Amino acid sequence: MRISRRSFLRVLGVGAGALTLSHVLGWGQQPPVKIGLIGPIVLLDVGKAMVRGAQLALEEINKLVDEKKLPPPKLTMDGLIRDDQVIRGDVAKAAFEELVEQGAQVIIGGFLDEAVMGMIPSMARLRKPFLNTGSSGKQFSELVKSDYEKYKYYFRLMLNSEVLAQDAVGMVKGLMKEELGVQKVALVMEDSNFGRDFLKILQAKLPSEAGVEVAKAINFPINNPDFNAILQQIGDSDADAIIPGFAFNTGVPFVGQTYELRVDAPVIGIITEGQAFEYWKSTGGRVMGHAYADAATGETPLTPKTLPFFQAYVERYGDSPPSRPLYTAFTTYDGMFVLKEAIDRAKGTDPDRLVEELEKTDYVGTVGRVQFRGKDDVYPHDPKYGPEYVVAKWVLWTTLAKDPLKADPQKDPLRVVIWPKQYRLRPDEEGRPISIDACISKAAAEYRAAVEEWKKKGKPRGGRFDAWQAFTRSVAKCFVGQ
Amino acid sequence: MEQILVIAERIVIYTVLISALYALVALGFTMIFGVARVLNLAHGAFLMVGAYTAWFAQQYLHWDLYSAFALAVVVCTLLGVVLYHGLVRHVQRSPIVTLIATLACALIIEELIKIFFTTNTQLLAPFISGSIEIDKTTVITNRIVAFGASWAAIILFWLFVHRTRWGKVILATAQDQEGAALVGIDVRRVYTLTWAISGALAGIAGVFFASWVKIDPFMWRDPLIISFAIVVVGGLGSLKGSIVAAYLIGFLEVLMTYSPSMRICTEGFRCFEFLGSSWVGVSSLLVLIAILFIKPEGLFGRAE
Amino acid sequence: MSLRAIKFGILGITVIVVAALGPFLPAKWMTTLTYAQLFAIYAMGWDILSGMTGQISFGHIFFVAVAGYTTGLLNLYMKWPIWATIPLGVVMAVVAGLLFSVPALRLRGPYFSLITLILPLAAARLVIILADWTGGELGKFGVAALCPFSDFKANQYCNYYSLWGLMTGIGLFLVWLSSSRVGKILEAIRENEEATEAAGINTAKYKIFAFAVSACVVGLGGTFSVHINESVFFNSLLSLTTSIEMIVASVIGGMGTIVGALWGGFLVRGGEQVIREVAQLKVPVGSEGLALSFLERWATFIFFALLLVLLFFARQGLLPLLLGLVKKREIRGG
Repeated sequence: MRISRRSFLRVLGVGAGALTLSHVLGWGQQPPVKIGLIGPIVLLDVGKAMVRGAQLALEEINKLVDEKKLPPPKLTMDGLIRDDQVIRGDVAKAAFEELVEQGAQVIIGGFLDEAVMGMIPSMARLRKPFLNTGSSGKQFSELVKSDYEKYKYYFRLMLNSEVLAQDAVGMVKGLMKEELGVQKVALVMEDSNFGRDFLKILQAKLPSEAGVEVAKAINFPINNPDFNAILQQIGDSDADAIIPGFAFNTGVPFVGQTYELRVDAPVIGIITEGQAFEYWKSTGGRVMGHAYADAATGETPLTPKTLPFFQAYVERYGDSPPSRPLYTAFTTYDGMFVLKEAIDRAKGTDPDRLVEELEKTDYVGTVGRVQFRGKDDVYPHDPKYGPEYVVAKWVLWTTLAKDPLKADPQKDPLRVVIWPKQYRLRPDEEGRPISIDACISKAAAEYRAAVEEWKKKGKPRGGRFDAWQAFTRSVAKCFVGQ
Repeated sequence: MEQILVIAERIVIYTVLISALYALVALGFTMIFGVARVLNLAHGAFLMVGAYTAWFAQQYLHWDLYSAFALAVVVCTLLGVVLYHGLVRHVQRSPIVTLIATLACALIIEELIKIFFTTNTQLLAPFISGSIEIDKTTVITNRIVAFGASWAAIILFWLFVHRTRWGKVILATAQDQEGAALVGIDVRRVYTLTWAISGALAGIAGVFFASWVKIDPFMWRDPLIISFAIVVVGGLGSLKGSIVAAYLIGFLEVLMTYSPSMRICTEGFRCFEFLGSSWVGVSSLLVLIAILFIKPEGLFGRAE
Repeated sequence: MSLRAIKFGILGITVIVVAALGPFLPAKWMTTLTYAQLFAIYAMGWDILSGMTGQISFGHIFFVAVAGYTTGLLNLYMKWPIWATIPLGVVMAVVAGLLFSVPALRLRGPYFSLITLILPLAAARLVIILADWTGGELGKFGVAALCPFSDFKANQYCNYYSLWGLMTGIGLFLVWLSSSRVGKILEAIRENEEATEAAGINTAKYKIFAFAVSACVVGLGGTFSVHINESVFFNSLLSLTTSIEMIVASVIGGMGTIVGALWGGFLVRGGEQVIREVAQLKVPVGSEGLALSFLERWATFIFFALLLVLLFFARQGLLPLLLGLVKKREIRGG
């Protein structure tokens, strides 16, 4: 039987109309994508910072979708935030499985390696992407390398410990040796996997790559709170600077004791806890003059996104600790945007498609430009490292207050990036970056001169300590544009 | 040669300083066991309460350090009495339940501190800031204050126990509970006094321990393990033994910090350290085990 | 009804309930109960030694670590299959138990307890010193899984029921042992060791036997945990907290009853999760910002406070308390 042309066209028209209509209706009614978050949110400030960063990102993203500046779907984390009790792998594992069962398509977060380790086997079996925004253990990237198909769902927005160590070598060469005239360093590392690796790498690379001698290398048990003897040994070794490596140990007693002893060697290194704004209060202001590596730091406009995020955070959360964003806030905030872009490109949340699109990420976030390393790289799915991508920022604790011990811990502390040089910036009234490189270089030259004087006078005790405090104060002045 | 002399001098100075504090820390613990036969696992928590009380008074009430210190001692004394009358008195017939109960108290105190304060580590302001040089060794001045105060407390305690009437009553009760009751000593009052003194000692130790190192909600664990180790090695209930053991353990820790470490590696480039500062802690444990196997009652303990 | 029959009855009901619950559990609860069963095994293993003889071991986690690291590292480096490495791990734990118990049992009371506390501390130091092999304070990935399934559900069921099998077998064995002549002797040692010696019994031999059994049970649990985690994991093999929790579980349930420890184990692990659940009822993600609900901050405190209350009022443990209530009702004329 032949179908009449009219009826054929009618069917075609109705079909086309129905298709378009359903497309239009469906488009506006896509349910929000569920994202789960797991971290030490109850006990630790880093966990709270994670949630806050995610929350701010969520609201911004959903607002942009409403304003049609981003395509749907929206994101949601309602009821999908879980605590991992810091170190409990079994609790983290159960939380991961629960969130997936409740419909989470992607999990974000993860702080201590112990908790993340618990989640990884379930992540591999459940085939759900996991965006790790807080851990630096390189064994996770090594897992991805060892069995790509099984573990490819793991991505990380943090520099791993080996990359951090390499970055430190660069800092020693550029900042310590060339600008500050350091020739010998002392290493003080805790006896953890992180500390041991850091020590090994620095001992191997500092002489050859940075031209700096390791005068003393100390490895102390993680919980050790007494550094008097250690600092004495470092003093004997004539080191020009001290590089700490503390991941578990809070470093608070270390900071207190270096101040009381007026140690004649500036402290520049990695103390994870020392990135928190509350650290000034914890140490009673004695952290003045210490410089630690960080993923981002509030007031320096690293990228056009950094300062607005910082200000939004302080406006919303400035009254309850952590009152300034910790590094996990920055990385989790960026992570949400990275996810959103990948979901948009993948047009859905199919895990394997998502992984493909995540691998193609090219996003300028608050910490730098995020691109992930490929599967053939030595650390697949870690962020690319380099001046155009993500690097560690070495941040100096300083203040304009006359006596750091009497400073107001809520208002007076300043954190200024002193390395790498491209990030020696301060914001003008409109938040645009102005370089303070020249100012800081000048302060460094003054420090070198003061140290020469001190050596000529026979190195009186506390002389170099005072010279470094003067340098620190000058950097503060640079930052406010004096 | 001169190098070795300097190092030896340093080891002596640091040992002398830290061991006094360790002895003070263990004092309250040994007293409770010697007199009341109770292993008070909340002892470390008493120290912590003392430290936090002083810190709170300093930070929020803006008291000076000496008043804060006095407050800490008072609070801890009360805490000792409350723990005895509220809990220990009722369960002390069963040693294992007492053990768990005092441990539960320590954990409860830790939680309360986490809730009302922060989990972040803090510093307690030193009594005297800065550092001084003793011959060729630089020492933080506050530690010398702690050293002096520890010995003052220990000597006062000894005088109290051996020279005052109440002290002798306590000694008598420690030696023979039934005998003491028979001659008309109110054992319950003695125990209350014992717990009060133990609390006070812990409060003093807590403030000095905190100003030596730091304050955080987990700081009760190390003092507890130190007390436990000192008191068992020295002999439970022996004051002299506690002091000797404190010096032994302090010495071992300082020695390990100074000992050169040897790095032993295999072909797979896997290495480990032999001796050296990462052996602080395990060395004293190994010596502890050795002593206990040779002399199970501890160095000065009575064979039970 | 004899005490022994009561114990078997309680054990039987518990294992049947746990087995039957399996298919109805959401993923999170299945994982939680898998780990709870593991912990119950630890508690029962502790109980057969310390609960029965009264020699309180503070560092029992040490035997978990010996067995766990043995099986994990042998499997990881030598690539031996798990049906070989697990028995080897258990054997090492038993050997460690025997080696340790012979000198240690000369000590009594708190001296013995201190020595047992030192074991895991020293082992932890050793693990950290040999970090390049053991993975240090974190651990090492790459250990073979207990169950060979790559499908998540299948793997989860396999883990749950494997542990169930282990728990049931161990429970039956230990209840039988504790009610047998050996058990009676161990209890007699707890009540009055001198009198037992005077009656002509070699108490040292029985104590060492109890030690070996205990190390074996706890070590077996440890090996399973390593293969469920697919890693040697410092925090699960050498956690002092777990060591203390074993004691708490057994004391809550009733020391020396074995099934008391079983129930205590479930109470501790399950109770933790329940409190976490209640505390996480709603973590609001709204414009007011994250407000941790009241319970989330107080959850752990409430847990310990309840523990203290329990100790105060049920000093012998829950099981004897319940049995006592039942007996009272009988006497009153029910």
